[in-house]
Amino acid sequence: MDYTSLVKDCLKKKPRAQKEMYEQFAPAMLGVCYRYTKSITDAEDVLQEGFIKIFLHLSEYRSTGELGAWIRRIMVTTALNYLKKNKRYRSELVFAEMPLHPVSDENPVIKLEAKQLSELIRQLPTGFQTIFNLHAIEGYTHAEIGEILGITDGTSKSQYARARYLLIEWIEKYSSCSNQEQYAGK
Amino acid sequence: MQESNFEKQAQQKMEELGINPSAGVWEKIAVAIQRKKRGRRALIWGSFVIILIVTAFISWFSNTGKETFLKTDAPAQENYTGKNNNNIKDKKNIDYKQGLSNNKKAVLKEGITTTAAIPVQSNKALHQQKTFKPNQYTKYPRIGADLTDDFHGEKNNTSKDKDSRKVKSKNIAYTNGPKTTVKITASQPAEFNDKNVIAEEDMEGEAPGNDSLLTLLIAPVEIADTTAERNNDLPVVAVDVVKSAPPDKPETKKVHRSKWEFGANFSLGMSATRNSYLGIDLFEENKAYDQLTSVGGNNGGSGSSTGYSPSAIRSRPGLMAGVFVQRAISPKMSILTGLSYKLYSTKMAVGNRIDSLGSLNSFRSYYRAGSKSNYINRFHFIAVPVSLEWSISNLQKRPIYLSAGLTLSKLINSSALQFNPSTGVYFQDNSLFNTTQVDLSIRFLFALNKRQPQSFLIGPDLSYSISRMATTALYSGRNYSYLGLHLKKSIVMSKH
Repeated sequence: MDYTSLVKDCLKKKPRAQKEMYEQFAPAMLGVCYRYTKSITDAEDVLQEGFIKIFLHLSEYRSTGELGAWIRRIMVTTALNYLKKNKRYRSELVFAEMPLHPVSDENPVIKLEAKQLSELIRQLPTGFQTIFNLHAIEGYTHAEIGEILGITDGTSKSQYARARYLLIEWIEKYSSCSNQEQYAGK
Repeated sequence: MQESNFEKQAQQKMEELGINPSAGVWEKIAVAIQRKKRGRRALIWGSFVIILIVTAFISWFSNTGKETFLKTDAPAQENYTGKNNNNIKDKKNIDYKQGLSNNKKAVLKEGITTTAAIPVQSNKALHQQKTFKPNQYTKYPRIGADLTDDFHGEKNNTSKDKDSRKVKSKNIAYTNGPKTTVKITASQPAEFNDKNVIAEEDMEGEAPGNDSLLTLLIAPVEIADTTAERNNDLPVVAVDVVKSAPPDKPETKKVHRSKWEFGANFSLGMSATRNSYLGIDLFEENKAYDQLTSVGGNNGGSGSSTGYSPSAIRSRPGLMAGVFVQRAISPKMSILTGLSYKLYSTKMAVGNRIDSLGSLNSFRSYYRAGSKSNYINRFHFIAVPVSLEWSISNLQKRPIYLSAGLTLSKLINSSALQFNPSTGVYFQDNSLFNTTQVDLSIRFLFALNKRQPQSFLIGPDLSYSISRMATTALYSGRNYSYLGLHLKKSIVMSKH
């Protein structure tokens, strides 16, 4: 989808265009923010901060890339900054060096809906949750994750392996469990 | 780590995730955007207002310290002196200024006119009182040996007609010298005359120079001719000389200051190319580009992170050096132009340098995205400034100047890197820059040497380009900005 004219109108600070851009991308971006935080309130705070940055720095958007990808990158960065600033999450973002956890070869079929999977991801400890989101969903390498979070790529690999292991275990349990309410609303 | 089916499934599932935010979120975003916009405008206008207030304050402050020459206009006083000082009953003061302004002489009756030659001495007290006594053997005052030593007598063409009490005076021309106003008053004690006859003469004009003689004309003074007068009770004519003259100035060569000046200027400071004012992030720094160096495009899912992000561009030192010519267009304002060389620089983090061009052989040199080392972007300009310079201080020994104007710059060379977000590669391509730039500049300049105010001027220097660096790519939406210390040396063309 071509957002050129929308971007131009937003650069001219037209309120209608800004709202249209927000309505176009907000649901997907709230889903991104929701994966990184522990509550919908925190996710909306991140969404609000992220869109303010987007509108203030929209002139830096290069039309060579997708607008959605650019917005997503800003949202992920905003989420990470939010985690670092927020006391609730900051303590859990300490990544202790741990022995390398063997990466599971399992590739189970995920039969869950998107919302259910995101709930499971949110159940992970904050550190696991962040690294899983950055590597598995956003596609960062462990070296890049190490630079972003200030950890070694070995720590990132190990943390990710443990997160993956836990998540697969929960998915299998959830899938086999007939009562889905066991995992809801945590 | 090789992507597995599990990760791909997870990505696809998360792409499907959409959550509608609550209504209040957009309202908060809209308010925050408006506030930031107003805040930026307020900051810009606020800066201008502060600059105006500071300028007005400096101008007001310097005007209150104006130096003036004090005039010694001590009014002349009539003093009766003579042998019988104790008999002085009246002492009359006359406002000679009034008399002078009206250009009237006091009532004159038959009397005596005489001349008095008074030496004009430089740096002498302004108020001199000279007295001379008429010759007791004659009715008429005469100047000669009767005078005090300060007087140099000259023979006057007095009429020796005994019946006539008039003595014609002789007026001797002055020689050239500092302008001097000399007021001569002559009076006589009241007891010798029913009427106080005051004579005054205002001599104004080119007075003689040092130690030359000033000949003055004293109007006729009535002197009663009584026997008592002959017995040393003659009236004494007091001559008060009030000389008001400008204080002596050391003789200096009069130099006529030419309207033209030329010289050289130099500036050293910090340059920036960020999308903000003055190269300073006024609000939250854009951390997106600082943190993310994402890998793009291979995760399979549509809409996942594609493209790379460039690293932040940071300020670095800049300089300017040039020559100028300046012409005064009014006593306090001059216009200036010249030719300058400007060097701006910034730095950014880059990854490994790629020596093998491969498929990217259209670029001269390039670097991978990353933070392995710092790369310095340099921008070389030739500039033609045009500015107005105001003298906002009246103190001759502490001149303060405000300079404001436009500079037309041409980018002649640059080593700056561009960025390709698709491939995550930094490369050089100067064709993407707008080579012609228009800058706004403002400076405050103060004299470095109080004794030689025209020697060196120094002060803060602010410059901001009102034209964009580029219309596309990495530098679109960015402006050059510079803040530094400016040094200016003028050579004034003078003629004598």
